[in-house]
Amino acid sequence: MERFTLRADKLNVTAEPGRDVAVAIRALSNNDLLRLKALARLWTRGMPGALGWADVMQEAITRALDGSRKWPSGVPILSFLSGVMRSICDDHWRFEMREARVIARDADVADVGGAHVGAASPDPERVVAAAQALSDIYQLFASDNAALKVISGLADGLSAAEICEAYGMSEREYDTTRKRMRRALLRCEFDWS
Amino acid sequence: MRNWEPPADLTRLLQALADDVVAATEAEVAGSVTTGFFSRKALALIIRMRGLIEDAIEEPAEAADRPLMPELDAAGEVRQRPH
Repeated sequence: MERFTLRADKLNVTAEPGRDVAVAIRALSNNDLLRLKALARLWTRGMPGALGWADVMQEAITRALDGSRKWPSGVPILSFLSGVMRSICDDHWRFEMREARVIARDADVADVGGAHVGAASPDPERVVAAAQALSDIYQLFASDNAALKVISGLADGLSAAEICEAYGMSEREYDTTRKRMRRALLRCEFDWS
Repeated sequence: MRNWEPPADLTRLLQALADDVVAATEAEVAGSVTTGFFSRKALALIIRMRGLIEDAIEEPAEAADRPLMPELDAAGEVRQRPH
């Protein structure tokens, strides 16, 4: 029915690595490409550094095509590319956090002769990074109180029923809110970078 | 730091929203670009994305030999720095 449901096991795998992925990526409909853009924008939202959504999307496509990331059988191509982009973004987060720690450590050494090196800490970089990214997502839905409740519930790992119960939302209100959220994610920022 | 992972609440939220985007119906995607302004912007974006995809597919050899993304390449260097 919808093209994003194209799965690896529906395609003939040839000897050329990445060829089936190429066929599937090339077959993405215009709507699938809008989904792909929304996914890339989502994973890079609030990410530190200069890496943009188009960079991450391009890198994900390249890794899929060159075979460095294998397309598992039965996984829709968009879900697969979303996972690759998530992995790229996680690597980038790690790099940024590592850089921050190296800078902080160098500063500590200069200030106190290394006395604090290796000291236990509550990992403040992790807290700051999460706050930045979450804040960026909350900002996207800042004018939608129901969406903010849903986001809070999703971040806490609650199910739909638990979110409805926790925030006094009806099932219908929850569904229409998720629909608004999907539309907002798909619509936001059509610019390339 | 080697084992640093994005916080669980952020990961859960992003994955839930990503699943939503993948599962968005054709009508919902089409509905996000109904007005002329969004429609034109979306079309320009789609054309550019198709160009990028075609370039990547047509030049697999160059892509395989490409340098790593600078940030990821640099991550390896940082990993090697002495304490």
